[in-house]
Amino acid sequence: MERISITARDNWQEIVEIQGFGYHTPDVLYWDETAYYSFGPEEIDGIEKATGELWEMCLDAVQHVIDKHLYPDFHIPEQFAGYIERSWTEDYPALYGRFDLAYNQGQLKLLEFNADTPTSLFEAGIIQWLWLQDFNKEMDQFNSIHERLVGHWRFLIDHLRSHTIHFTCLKQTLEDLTNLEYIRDCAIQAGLDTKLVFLDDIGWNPEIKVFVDLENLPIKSIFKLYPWEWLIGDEFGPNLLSDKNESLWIEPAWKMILSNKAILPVLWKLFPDHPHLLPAYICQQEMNQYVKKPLLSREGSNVEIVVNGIRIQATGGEYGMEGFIYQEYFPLPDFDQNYPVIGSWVIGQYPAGIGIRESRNLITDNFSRFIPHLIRG
Amino acid sequence: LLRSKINCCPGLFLQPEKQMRYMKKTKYIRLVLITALLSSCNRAAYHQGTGETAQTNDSTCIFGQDSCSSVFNFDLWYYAFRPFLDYFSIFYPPPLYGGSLVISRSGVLRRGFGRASVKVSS
Repeated sequence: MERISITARDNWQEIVEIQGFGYHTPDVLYWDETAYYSFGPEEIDGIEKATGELWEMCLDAVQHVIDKHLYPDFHIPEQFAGYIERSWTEDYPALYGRFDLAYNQGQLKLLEFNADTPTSLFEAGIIQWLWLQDFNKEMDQFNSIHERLVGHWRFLIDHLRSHTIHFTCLKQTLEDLTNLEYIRDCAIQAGLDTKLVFLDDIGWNPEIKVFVDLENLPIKSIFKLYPWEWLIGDEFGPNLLSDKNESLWIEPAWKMILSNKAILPVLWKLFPDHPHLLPAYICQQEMNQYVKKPLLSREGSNVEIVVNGIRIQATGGEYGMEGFIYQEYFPLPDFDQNYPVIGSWVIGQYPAGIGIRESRNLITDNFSRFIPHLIRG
Repeated sequence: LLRSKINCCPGLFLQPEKQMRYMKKTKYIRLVLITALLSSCNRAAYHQGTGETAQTNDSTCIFGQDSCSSVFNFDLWYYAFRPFLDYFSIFYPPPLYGGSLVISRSGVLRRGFGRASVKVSS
């Protein structure tokens, strides 16, 4: 893995905006094409293999959590246990997830799994590919995200509760909307009928106990870009349990388990010493260097790195009331104080590509930048 | 099981797995929603800083297989980015009781999801 500095395209802002990428510089630069990461084919093979292994281990871990009824460790309300288990045993469909990996000195380690609402999909699947077409058409990229998305939606058509699938996210956020609309775009190309309805416009008909859209038509299958822990905590959350349509929410409720940092200690317990896992525990152990992470934090909030008893870096935020896990510290590679994390996508059941976010800090936060990549020939 | 690799994406695997792994995408990536809509959204969104409520002529209804998104015939930007209270006052009456829920004439409750006002990104 190498970091190569280059000159950005002259009019790159205009180029990516025409491509539909409107959040390239929300407050500070996010899309950064003044550098790219270069991988050898064997390195990509390793990332792909690791991603596939991690996904299979994650499925085993979900089964374990359900079998052992470990919901309190995950801060998941007891009344949703049956709901989660039904989504698992009845095999409600899932679409995607993103493993965040540290790659340093030949070792590839799982930092966390964004299993429920991963973003950066559009820039990983489309924008960095189109960048490569301008930069060097002859080079390749680990990126079949777009094809996998269309293919998996096509596969899911027969497994949805309706031919029309609703798509929902919050209003007022271009990044969320772009990711959602990209996924919807792929669903349309797969042959599905789609409808967009924002979260606060979703209705609940209390007489017949079903969720409805703005035309009061029932919602039977819905893709959400909104985390499960927020969904069940909202005023309509309890209605999920009494919904007569038993609507399919994608990602499914069993992703509540995988998107929670408490899955990391479970994985370590089930697969100790696995080369792609770091030791992780619910309670603080005798670790000289560790990272303390809230169970549900997003974008690196409320994370602390402790080395030899000294807190070397920490971030603020609103998380932590739900509890923490402790994961052994594994340093990110240092490229002139640029610290990259590899986001490795799994779509359907398969590794599908990578996107790299780079930070000036050891904790990848919402000021990180997306850097494109290529595979050396 | 949908979680089984055997069942996944049958259409895709007409090609050997090796060919799918690295991208070498089709020459033309077709995006029916994104390039037409969100690039326009972006231009309109720039007006947020000035307080203007600029609109575009785009509609999510204009594409073939999409059954319809802009149920009020509003463009996507207006639907997505109009200031919340402004939007709220047009479509919904004020809340009827202590919570944030609103009820329509048809008896349907709304605003029960989406209490978070921050982006979801992770």
